[in-house]
Amino acid sequence: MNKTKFTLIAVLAALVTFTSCKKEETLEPIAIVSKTFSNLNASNYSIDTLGNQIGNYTKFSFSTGDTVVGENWDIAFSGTTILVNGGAIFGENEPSRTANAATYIANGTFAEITEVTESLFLQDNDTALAITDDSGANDAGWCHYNPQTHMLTPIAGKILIFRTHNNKYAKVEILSFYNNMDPSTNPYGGYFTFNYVYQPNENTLTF
Amino acid sequence: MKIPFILVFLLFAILAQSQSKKDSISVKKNLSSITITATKSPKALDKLPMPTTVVSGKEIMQSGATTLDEVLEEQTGIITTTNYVGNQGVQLQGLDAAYTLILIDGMPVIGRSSGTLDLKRISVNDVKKVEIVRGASSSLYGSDAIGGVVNIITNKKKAVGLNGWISQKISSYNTFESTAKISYKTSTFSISNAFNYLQSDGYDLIENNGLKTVSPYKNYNYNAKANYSLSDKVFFQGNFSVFKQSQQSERTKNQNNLFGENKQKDVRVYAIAKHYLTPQITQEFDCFFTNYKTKEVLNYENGDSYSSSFFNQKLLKPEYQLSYTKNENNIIFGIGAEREGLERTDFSESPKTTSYFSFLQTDYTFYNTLNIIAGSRYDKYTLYDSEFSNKAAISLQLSEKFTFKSSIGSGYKTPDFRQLYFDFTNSINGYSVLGSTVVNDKIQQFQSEGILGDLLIPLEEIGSILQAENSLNINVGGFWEIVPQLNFDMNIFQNNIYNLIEPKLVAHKTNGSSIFTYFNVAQVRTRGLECNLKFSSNKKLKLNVGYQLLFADDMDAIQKIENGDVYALSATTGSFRLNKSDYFGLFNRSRHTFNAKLYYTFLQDYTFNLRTNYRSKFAMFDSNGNDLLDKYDQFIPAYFLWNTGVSKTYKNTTIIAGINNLMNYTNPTNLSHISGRNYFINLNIQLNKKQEK
Repeated sequence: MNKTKFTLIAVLAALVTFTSCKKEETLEPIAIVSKTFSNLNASNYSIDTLGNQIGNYTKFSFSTGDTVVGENWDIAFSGTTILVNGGAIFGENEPSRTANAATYIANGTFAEITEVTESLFLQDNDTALAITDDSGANDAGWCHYNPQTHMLTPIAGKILIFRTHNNKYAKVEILSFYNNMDPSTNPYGGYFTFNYVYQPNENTLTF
Repeated sequence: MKIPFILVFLLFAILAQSQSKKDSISVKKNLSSITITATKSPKALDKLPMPTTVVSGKEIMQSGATTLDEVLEEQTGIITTTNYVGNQGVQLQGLDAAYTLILIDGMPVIGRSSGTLDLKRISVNDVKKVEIVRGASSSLYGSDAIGGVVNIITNKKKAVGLNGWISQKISSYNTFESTAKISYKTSTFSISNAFNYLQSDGYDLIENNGLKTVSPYKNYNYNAKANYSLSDKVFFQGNFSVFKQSQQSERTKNQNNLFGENKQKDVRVYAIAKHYLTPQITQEFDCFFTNYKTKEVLNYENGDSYSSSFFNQKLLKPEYQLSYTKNENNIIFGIGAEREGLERTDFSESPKTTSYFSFLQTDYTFYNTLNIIAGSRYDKYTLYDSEFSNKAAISLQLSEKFTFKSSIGSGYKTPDFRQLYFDFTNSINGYSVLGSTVVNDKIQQFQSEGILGDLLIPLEEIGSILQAENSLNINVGGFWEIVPQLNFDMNIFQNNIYNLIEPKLVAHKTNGSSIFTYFNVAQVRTRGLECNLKFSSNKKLKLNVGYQLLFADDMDAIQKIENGDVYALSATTGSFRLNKSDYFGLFNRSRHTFNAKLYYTFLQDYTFNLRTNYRSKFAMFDSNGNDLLDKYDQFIPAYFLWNTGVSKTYKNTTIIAGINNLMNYTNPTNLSHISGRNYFINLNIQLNKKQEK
């Protein structure tokens, strides 16, 4: 068993070396990006009398792997709200959608979600956001609100799948809503720490 | 369990009686205490097939307990819990506080908030004993008796003449309790008046947050009792009691500190007429009325009004009982009605309901060793389906030393008025909680007003008629007299509750806020083992040790885990799937609880006691994103509470001094009812010449 596996890998490795040696000019697959982004600050919001969050959105781009200010964003955060750069404006203060990004939430562990199902994608529209924002009250979105501690925890096993502004795919698992993952220092939260995997290759629906 | 199997049993009992030898029973003189709660008729504790605990008044006095919660939390398998409005309840056999019926002298105590009756309002300063019957007892008591029944039995003076009793207790946090009782008794007539006043500054576990953990309060209790025997066959009893509390209210709502006042008033009145038709046949007519009221005003710090709320519940309960007793055998039949009404803030209407009940129970001993108790009760309701509740219990004396005991019973709890009539919309973020009778009209109203967003469940499935929550309880155990000084009792229990009522999200408003209503959805199972070891040596040394093992599970959570749908989140490695063995159980349940009580009498009239309670780890909420409790969650660590005291009796005076929570254990965020170290001294003076026991 082990021997065959080893031989297979050796052959594959040889093949890869050979092919890359032969045709230097053909596009070799770009390495998948797998990273953790810590403390994305989306805490600059206020709450109106109806309990709605009103505030500035922090935009993030998977291709640059960082927050952006331009139109090349994929997702935008403000408080518990997550927008996607595709569809139409839903609420106040939102950035306008400039691309065809989309999203859905898959159930599973981060590692076992390896494929994107195009038919599940949703975009924001004027009646609903693609990622429901219930501030965690009913576990309809990505987070759970604990009425005893007033803490927000990401719901375990919810993996956010994205089609990016540049038509690539990414998956995200949110790990914490609090600065340095420590709710004791900032009880109101608004700081996202998340794992993400970005598939930079065209038309590749797997991670 | 819908068939009244008592009828079958009755037939069996009658046949057996006609065949058994006539009264060869030599009644063994036993010194065991006589209980009343488990069978509604006097029965010796060691003869009872149902798991029952009796806490004596003496033990209560020595513990320095002021209110019922303090008495109960030192008993095996009982844990005090605090619900979110601050009400103190108890877990019995792992079931929530809403599922235990609380009685005073056999009459129900009303006024539950979010299902929990606040045991802090029940004073134990004039209590003869507290009886705790574990396991479903709806076959005698109807609704709410799922986990069991706690019955507080107050003192009744036996000595003839004018008697008095005064008591003064001082304890930490500026707590003072004064009691004065005066009674007069002739051969046919007796009357007693008791007045009790309690004031406390409360305590503060989290300083600098602008709020006290428990605010200052003042309690008044007044009780009057009268007994009159018209002849040696006809007896009358009357009782009137009032409880009043005023407490400062301090709360935090949406980051605002609110201040105000909370007032409670509880009135209880009853009259009992008892008639011995023959030495064996007794008829009794009871009429009970109770009214529980609260009023709360809350203001912002600047004095602006935040809210004003009230609660006013009334219950009228006439009951007729006919009982036949011969030797140790008893048949009891009862019939009665309950008229209940509630007026309160945030209700769509002021509901009034009337229900009727009748029960029949036989208690029969075969061949002096086999005792079988079987009972059934029928409750007729207008708002939901009527209920048949059954119970069968058996005890079999296998030898002089060993008795086997077992019982099986059904329990139920009717939906409370809140689940039917609640019409509440949060003024700050607009979410609504609607009772099942209100929700349909309200959603249609929101629709016509154009504020209804999406409907998550079809309208015709919303507002279905709520049914009672049902349970099946099984107890198997026994009593073992190892040596005369050392006894051991054990009970293995299981409770399955079906049709548990829970709020569920049904719709959103256009502004995104949620609309909830109640459904019969969940299933819960609790099972475990409770046992006690009691040692006593020539009245000098007494040691009681108790232990409970508990597994309390949400059956739907187990199903979800089995389906592979439950994950837990680790901040370092992300989500992972849970196994069935990772599930811990319901919130606020401890796997192991343990208690030990040591009483040592020295120099004839000094008694020293040392008591401890242990609770293994538990959690109040989920911390890793799956809404259920698994072994990867953050737990509140296990803890011990230690209490100690010493008492001395000299002639008519008893002095008790002690320290409760000796090690000063506190957990401000999760266990706000544990105040920290508490010193107390209590002086009791009996004013009659002869001291009576």
